[in-house]
Amino acid sequence: MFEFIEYLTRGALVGVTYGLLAFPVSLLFSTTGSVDVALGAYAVLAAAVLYVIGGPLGVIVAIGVAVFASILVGLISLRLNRPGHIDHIIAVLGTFGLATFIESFILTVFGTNPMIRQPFSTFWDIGGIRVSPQMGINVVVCLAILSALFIVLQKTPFGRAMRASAVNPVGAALNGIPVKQIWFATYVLGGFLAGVAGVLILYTTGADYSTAFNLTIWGFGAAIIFGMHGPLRGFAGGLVIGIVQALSAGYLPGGWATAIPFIFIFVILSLGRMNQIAATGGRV
Amino acid sequence: MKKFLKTTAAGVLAAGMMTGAGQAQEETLKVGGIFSVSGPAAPFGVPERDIVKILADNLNSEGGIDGKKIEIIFCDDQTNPTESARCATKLIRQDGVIAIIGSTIGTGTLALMPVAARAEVPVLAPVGTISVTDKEHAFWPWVFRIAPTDKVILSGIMERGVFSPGHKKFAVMYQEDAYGEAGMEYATKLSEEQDIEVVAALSAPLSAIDLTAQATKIRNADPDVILLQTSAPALGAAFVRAAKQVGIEAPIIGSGSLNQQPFINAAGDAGEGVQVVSMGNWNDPSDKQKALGDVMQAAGMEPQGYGELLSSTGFMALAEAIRRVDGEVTGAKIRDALETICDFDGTYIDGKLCYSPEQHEGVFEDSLITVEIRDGAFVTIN
Repeated sequence: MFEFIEYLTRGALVGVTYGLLAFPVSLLFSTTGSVDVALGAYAVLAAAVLYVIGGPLGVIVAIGVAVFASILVGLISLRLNRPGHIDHIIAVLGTFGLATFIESFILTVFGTNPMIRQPFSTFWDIGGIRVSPQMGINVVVCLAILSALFIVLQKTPFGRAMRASAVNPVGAALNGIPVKQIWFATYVLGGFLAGVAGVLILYTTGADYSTAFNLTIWGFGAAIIFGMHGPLRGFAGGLVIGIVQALSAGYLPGGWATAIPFIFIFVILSLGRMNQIAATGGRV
Repeated sequence: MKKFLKTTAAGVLAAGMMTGAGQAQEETLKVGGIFSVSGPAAPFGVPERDIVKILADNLNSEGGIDGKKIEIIFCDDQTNPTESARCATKLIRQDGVIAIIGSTIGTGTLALMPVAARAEVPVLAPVGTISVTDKEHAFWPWVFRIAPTDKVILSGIMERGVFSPGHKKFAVMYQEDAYGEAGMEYATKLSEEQDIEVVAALSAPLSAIDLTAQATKIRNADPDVILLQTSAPALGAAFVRAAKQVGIEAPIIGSGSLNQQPFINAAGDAGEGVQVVSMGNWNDPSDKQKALGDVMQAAGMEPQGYGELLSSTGFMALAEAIRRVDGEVTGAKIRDALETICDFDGTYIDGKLCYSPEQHEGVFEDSLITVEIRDGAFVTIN
């Protein structure tokens, strides 16, 4: 039993980072109906920049670079899609291209070596489970961002405009809501969140140039588990993905441990959970 | 008349070119170098190419071999087996090479070998992939290995890390690909032969960044020693960090490719005490390795890792074989001469190179050393 609880705990702690990446996936999907495949690449880019610069300045520059990359994607996506003239596949392919570009950029500029910073060399003992204090920081940062995002979405004019743009973009535009700008802001917010995730990843597990696409997959998987209604569910989805990974590694033999989390995402997709976005107004 | 003049002029020109080519062939021996200078294997391929170029330049400036200069013609296979075969075709048909050093990757070597064997061109392969020297291949007579096989390295690891210390329970963490799985299976076989219990065998894809769940399972299996069978510093470091976090106290012993600085950097404190069985240690070089480092530094290069040791061995073996050839130097004569090279210590690796008509493996366990991470550097241990 203790072993089971340990896998649950370790999985959930890893899942916190996936949950952070699930925020922008579900936010962007529910607002624009599109998926930004480059999110994982922003995170690794931020990790690489912070790895080189280091310190508080490094954190700011790293998140800034991720935001800058997302601004580029936002501009490209807006150029490709205007409200009323939307082809989501083109926007997704556009972000896919940029993800590949960022990955090559990281490979060329920062090289193939793994990037990691470990500020802690001692561990917490929580009921017999040894955990890095960095995990505690990750949980606190994620909960803080989650709360801030919840307040922004539910209690501010910007949040209302964002939700209105998601439910009915044409109606929102007719009511004077700058839908294009809201879409753009969602891309940038996604870049910011991915940048924060990149910073946490550098201090937790580290990354290398090839990590980006995997992060996108797990972020996407986390976002779809409970339907892409909102970022809060995405966070819970992240925890579930992390737990599925840990339990698979703990109880399944060899390659199955790697395959099962992917099969899990596939099953969720095939059950049509993503279609529940229809509840946001039947727009997608 | 005009036509006659044109034909005569063309004939004279062609004759001149042929004579020129004939003279060049007398003085210069062309050798192909197929390395992965781009793509994922580039960290190995670039130093492999560089040291071959340096050694050839040095040999030529000293007058070559019996007055014959060596010209190395390089071809980048981009870590792609299709390109390796294309490189071999181009080097043999267009450039007329008489021997090839390469490819950096095992699959590339397997792809180029049929081309080389058909043209009777011997290949010195800097790869550990076990199947390359399988005698069932029709090309076997033409391939000579210049690296320890994965089997030799694994036998070394098991002997030094598991059998000699008298451990009874053994766990393995391996990467999910042919290299990792073959290593896991061979290590498991060796353990069973010695009545050692394999208490856990876990794997992870190369892209995995968190291995705490795998480390937890290994810790719960309570092994005496853990084999880390991965060629990727990132994955290896992720495991040793996870091992420290979950409180594993059993010693960890890693396979050859972890013998590089990026592994130490990524492992941090958790890497202390981890042992790696490999060839060479640039933190603490042997006399022969120091000599190779001096050769590289004299040419303005810094040694980077494992690749230099392998392809320098190939070049030195090839030069020795050419020295042993009587009369005109051809691919077939080089092949025969290579089979006579044994107990040869004219390379930069610590052991002796040995081929025979029965085996083309070349590098054996006497070339391996055990290194341990101490204070953030590899220290060679006995």
